[in-house]
Amino acid sequence: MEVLVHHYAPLVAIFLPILSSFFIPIIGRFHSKLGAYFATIILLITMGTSVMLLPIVLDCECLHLIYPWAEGINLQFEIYADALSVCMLLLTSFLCLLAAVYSIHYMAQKEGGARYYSLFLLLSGSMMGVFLSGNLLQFFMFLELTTISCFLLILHYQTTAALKSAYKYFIMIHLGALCLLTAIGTIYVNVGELSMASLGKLLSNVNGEWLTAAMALTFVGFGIESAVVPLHVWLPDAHSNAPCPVSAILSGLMVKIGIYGLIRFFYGIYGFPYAWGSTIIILGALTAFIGVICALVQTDAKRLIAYHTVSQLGYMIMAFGTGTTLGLAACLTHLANHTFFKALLFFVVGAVIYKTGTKDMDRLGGLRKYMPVTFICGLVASMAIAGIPPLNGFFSKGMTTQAVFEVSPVMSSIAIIVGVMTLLSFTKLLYMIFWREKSLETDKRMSMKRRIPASMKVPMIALATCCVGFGLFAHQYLEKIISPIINGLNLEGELYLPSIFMPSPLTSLSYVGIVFAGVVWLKRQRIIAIMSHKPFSALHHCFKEELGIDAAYSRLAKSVVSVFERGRSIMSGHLRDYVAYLAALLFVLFLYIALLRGFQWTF
Amino acid sequence: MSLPYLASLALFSIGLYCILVKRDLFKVIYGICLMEFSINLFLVSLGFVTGGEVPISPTGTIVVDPLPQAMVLTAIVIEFATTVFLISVAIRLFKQYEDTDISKMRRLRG
Repeated sequence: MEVLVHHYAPLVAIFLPILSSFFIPIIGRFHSKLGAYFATIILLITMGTSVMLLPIVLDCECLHLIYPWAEGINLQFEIYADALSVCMLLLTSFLCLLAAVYSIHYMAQKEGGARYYSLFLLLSGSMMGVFLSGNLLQFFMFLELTTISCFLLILHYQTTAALKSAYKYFIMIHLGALCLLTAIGTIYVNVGELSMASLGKLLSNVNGEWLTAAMALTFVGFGIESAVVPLHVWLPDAHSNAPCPVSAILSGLMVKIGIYGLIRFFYGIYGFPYAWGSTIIILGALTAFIGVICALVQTDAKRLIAYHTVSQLGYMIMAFGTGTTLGLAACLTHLANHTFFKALLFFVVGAVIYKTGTKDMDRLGGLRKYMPVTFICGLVASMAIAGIPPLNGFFSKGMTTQAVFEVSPVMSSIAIIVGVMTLLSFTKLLYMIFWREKSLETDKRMSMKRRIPASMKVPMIALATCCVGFGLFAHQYLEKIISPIINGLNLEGELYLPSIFMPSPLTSLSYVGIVFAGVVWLKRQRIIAIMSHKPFSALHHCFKEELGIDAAYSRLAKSVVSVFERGRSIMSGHLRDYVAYLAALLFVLFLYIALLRGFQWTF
Repeated sequence: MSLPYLASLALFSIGLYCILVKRDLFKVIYGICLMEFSINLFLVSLGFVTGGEVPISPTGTIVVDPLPQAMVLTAIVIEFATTVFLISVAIRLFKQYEDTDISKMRRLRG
């Protein structure tokens, strides 16, 4: 592997968006849309730089740039760009660009446009910083920057629900960041090094309690970031209350930072802990399963999609947990594919909200005739996420199932069941929003709203093209992009895709899933009738309340608050109480000194 | 020998008692002043040497320590400033509440 030392593109990718985010409020004063166009141009340049980097790193070279920063503590500003980083960079800049274009009209009628675009650029720049960081502290700092800007973007509408969910996001992600910081601190104290490149070599033959603790903390930290059950409770709230382009970024990129971090830390630094493999796979399967059963019962379209994010992240965690080359390839492929179809789904729901003003599926219906382009994009995305060949989701899910099957066949059956349920819930989404006979409510609202503008259609069509294209050219994709990434992480192994024409029993099982979903679709009236009976409705309620996990967190928070409520009476507001505290402290100090000197007073 | 120390301790206790028990704002300020005086007394008596002279052009070899005296002189000036500040705040509070009873000023309550 050759190392390049000079290249300006990574610096531009990080600092151009971050620095220009400060100018947006000034530019936005002249014209309301100027900020939007400016942000789009900046992101276009950023994407250009990441495209420039791609051919360099795909030849198995990597960029390692070092700038002086804090010499006293052996810390440099390091940029480390290998194939994985640059592919994530490309994905980030691509989706951020599309989301910015999408926002031009989507966010136009809402207030605070300058603030929105400013934070948007800050978020994209800091995400690039995360993906290009070459040392742990720098990684952590950019991660915090993404959290802060994302927090402010989630509460953009400033409704009570948005405030609550943004607060929840902030608290939970910060707990994760705290775990990560502790892990980084542990490593630094024990090894005295923060650079990822040298840590990989240093830690390869080190063993110790502290290393295990650091690994566990890292897993919990990134587990919160990537919403592993039971640490996922922030995700559905944050995704459903944020503006749609922000939801797309959250779901498409922010949660992927967790997966990226897991891969970077566990493959690049610690070395994969094979003893933990089965635990990680079980956690992943649990995440996938709980995500999908909660998604099945939602009536809020964005919340349904958000739960699917949890579920799909479960797939990635499962694939990651196998620890094999195929598993890692599956994880990365699914990561990229999920970005395409999940962002597309949020864009589609955003278009529906733009047109009708609601995301409540009970009030929607029959939109197929009024917004055909959106419907087709939604159909492509739903088919992709449900794993229908030849779209991209089929290949990555097939690879995941295959990789898990090689390690534990029982868990791979869960992956297949989750696949079937995903298909069912997207059948529900499409049926309720687009297909069923239109209801009156939709009609009344329809006349008030305008057509979907081209600036919203183009990103949707681009993402739908990606979903189809990466499915049709999956072999080339695996060979040209994923293989260099795997090689860049110094892993060797055979990579192969599941074929559409069933050479393995697992692929055929996904066809059984499609047939099953078809049967459910045909017998839907009958099934709805059965499901409204007692045991099922209780189960429905239970799933809708996400099995009480969220309620458990609320109870925990309340009990913590009540402890501190009791402490409030100390601050009585009476001056004499405060003076008494001071006098008591003085007395204690006096006694302490007296004890130190053994009551021997000599004047 | 230990009389100045006992006196400063007594003064300090009286001041503390005054702050803790009295409800009148100005009496609280008197208490604070008393405590400051007690500290000044304590510091000055720390520098006392038995049989020592005044440290301004002494005739013998034994002089009292001039350092605490200089410090206390500075402290007195600072105390003057803080006391003036306290009184001005007290006047402001009196205008706000139209009362000098500190038990009614409870805006700091948690």
